[in-house]
Amino acid sequence: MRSLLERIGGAPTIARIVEDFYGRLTHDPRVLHHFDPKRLPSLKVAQCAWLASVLGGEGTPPADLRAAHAHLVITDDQVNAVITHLDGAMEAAGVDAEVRRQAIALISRLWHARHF
Amino acid sequence: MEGVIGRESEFAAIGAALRRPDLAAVLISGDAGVGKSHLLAATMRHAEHNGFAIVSVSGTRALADIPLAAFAALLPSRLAGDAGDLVQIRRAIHERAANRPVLLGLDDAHLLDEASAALAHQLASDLTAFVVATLRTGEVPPAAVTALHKDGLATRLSLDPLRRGDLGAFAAATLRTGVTLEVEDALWERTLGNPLFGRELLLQARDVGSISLREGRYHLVGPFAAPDTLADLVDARLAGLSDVHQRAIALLAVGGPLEIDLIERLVDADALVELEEARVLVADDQDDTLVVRFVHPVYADATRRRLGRLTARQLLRELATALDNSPRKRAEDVLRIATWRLDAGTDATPDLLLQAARLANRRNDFALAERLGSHAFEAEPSLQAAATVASAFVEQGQYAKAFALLHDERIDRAVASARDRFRAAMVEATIQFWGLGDGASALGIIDRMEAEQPSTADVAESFRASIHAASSRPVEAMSHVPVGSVTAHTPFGVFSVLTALTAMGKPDTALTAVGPMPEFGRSTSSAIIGVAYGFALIETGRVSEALRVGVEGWERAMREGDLHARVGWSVAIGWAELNFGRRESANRWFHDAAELAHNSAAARHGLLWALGGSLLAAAQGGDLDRARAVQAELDAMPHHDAIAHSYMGTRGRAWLAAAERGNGVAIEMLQQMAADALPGSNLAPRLRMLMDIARLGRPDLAVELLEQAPTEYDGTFLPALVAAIRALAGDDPAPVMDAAESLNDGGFRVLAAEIAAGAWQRAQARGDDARLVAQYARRAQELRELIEAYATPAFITTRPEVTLSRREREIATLVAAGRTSREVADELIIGVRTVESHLARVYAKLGVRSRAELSDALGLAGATS
Repeated sequence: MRSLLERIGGAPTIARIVEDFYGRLTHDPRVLHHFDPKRLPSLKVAQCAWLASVLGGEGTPPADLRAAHAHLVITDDQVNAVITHLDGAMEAAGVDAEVRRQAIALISRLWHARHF
Repeated sequence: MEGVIGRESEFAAIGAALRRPDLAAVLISGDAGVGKSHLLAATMRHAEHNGFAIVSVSGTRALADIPLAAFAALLPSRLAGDAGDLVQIRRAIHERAANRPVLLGLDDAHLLDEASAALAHQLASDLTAFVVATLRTGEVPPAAVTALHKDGLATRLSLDPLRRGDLGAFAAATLRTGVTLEVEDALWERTLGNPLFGRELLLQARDVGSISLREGRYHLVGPFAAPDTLADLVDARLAGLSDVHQRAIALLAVGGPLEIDLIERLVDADALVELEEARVLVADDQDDTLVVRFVHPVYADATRRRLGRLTARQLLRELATALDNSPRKRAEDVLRIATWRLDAGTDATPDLLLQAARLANRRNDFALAERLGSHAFEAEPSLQAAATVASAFVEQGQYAKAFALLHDERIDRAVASARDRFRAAMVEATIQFWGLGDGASALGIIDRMEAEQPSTADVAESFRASIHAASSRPVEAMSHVPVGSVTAHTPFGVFSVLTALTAMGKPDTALTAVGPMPEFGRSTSSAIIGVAYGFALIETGRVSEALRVGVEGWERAMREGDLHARVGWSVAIGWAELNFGRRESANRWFHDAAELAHNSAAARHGLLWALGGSLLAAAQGGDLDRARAVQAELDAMPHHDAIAHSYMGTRGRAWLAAAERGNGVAIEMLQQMAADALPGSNLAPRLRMLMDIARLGRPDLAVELLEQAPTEYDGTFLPALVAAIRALAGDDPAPVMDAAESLNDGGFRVLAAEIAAGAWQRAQARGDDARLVAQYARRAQELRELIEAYATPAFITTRPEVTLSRREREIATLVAAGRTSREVADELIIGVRTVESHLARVYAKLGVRSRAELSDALGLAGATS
């Protein structure tokens, strides 16, 4: 079975998705306050690495979701917004609907399991 | 964490698994009473609290034979027993999820029916749900549950008894008050940390006064009165029940879970209520009926141990009579009535047994059919009984036994009805051809049957056709089932039309003739139709449709417990996957098919087809050790006439020979095979062989052979194959790339990638414009990336990767990031002209024309050289 990363189109597509994803996040009034423009470049790099690792089916992703978001207060509405934007960015990058569904299901599971 | 005393580390392990992206399941295994269900329940509660949607499903012994029974509770209505159920269940899960991640709890997963287990496996592997399952140590779970672990999707968690240090907290939680160290010691000594035993022991000790409450803690007053083991404790508890209660639990122990109206005919309703209150029994809703069962399987085991053989027989007789007289008796109850009567050792008439055996055959429970039918046969050795049991043997791959039974000298054929003689002849012809591979003997049996009973002419014709079709005599096959005839639409007729016309290069005509995938219920033919339909779809150029139809067929077979059909569909799916470029998946499907074939009616022909697929997949993948092993296995098989779907194997031999002894040897073998295929008009497999010859480096020879049999092929694939062979014989890259593209459109990704590499080579060899060569290289590379590793010559000898020098890559990256040439020049301290000339080379290598195209193309460029 090819990994989600391969089915999405590999690292180059991930980079395109992340670029688009942050474009959407920083224009959404529900979540834009979470993103410091100065930190954005390094955030994108970290996000690319995290997504590549998670979707590549590796055992341990490089960043712990719980620790990475410990300083933020995040509402369910905001989580939904982020997921919608990620899905939208993947769609814009031409990712197949089933691959998108699986990627979102996986990421959503990892997010909700962060306090387990 | 509440509810996980002494289980904190296991609980944390489940959490860790949930956070690992490479996992989709946790399997919790342990002994009875060790607290598996408890841990699962705590996990589900905690997950729900953290925003997961929970789907909870349990396996039970009573429902282990009913497909998808475990998931039935998710549906608003009853199971329909068709393909719609899976869709409905998935929809129900999707609705419950409402955009939340799903945790699927499978309690007692070792008792799940196969179809539910398969569904759970799918839900985990396509990431629809994270599965947490409990398994009793020593029980054999359904293969799909074990597969979760084998496939690397699940981690295993073995649940040991509680540790000594955890007993204090455990006792306090059970009694809601702390206990002294002395009580802990006594508890440890007796239970060694088994939580179920510990709980029962503590509650009993409190009730009989062995422990008493003083100064806020329980103190040990006298010795624990309870017996030494959990089983003994349950025994003691059951022994204390009154006679009427004993009778109720004994009935459940011998009869399995029972419908409320059945058990109430035999015991007082009040007794059942009391047993429910005492938490020995529970009642669940199943299919609109209340079904009564034990609260924990250890109670059933304990009850059975206490029951005398004679009492058990008496109870079975009572159950059989009560069910027989029940006003709510259903057709399938005859199975339970016959089995109970047989086990009770009385009043099972041959008629009843035979009726039940036929029902068991229809429900694919061939072991039960064999048992019931054999008893019927021993009591009355009729041809009817022999044919029923022989069918059951055939379906379990035991052809020799089936043959012997039909020729048992006690059978008096003269008294058998015409219908029974017909059925026996059909079974025997099946044994001769599909089982023993002897087409001539089978044809003889069919001829004799038709001579004796002219009314069976249609069946005889379609059976003859199937033998010819499967033996690669397509023209003869079609003479028995002309398109549009009645016989062409019988199960064997459909198989014959699909197989024969596809072999003759007319897969599209075949599919049009049979219409949408026909449904014939379970029959030997359902399996071979699966293969034939899948192969026809592929050869007509619809690989993805073959995959979809194949998986649907496989799921249906899985649900119906139809092993034979599973073999057929697995082979078809494997073949589609191999064409599609998923060699590993293909390998798994072929492997599964071979494994399943052994105990099915496909024991011989199914194995032949599956091993053929494995050989081709292994040889083309460069896994020569495996290919040699599979070839040796094929060599060890006795001759079988059903060779029509074994061309994968014969071609596989050639590919192995190519890897071991060079392309020349392989080409000679293929040339011989192609010559053998010609007289019988097996043109589609022949075309594949010619393509193989072209792939191995002799497209000129392939074209020469092609001219020997000019034919109109229908569908899109076979004509594309012809075009590809012709293009490969020339130097012009354009038609080669066109052929690659049309093959890719049909889902033939391996061929497409190989041929595209050929186009690139031709462009390079001809010295085409660098930008054009680069475009071919890029496209070849793109197609190459769609498939897994194949080790055919095209992939070994060509490396169509684009390589940029370090400086070129540096400059290209900066330009792609939006810098102007001037900015790049300043940054790298070189001249603008140098930047431009590097950039021009990059454009040529990547086959792009503008800065906008550059960033896309960069992702496809290879490493620095």
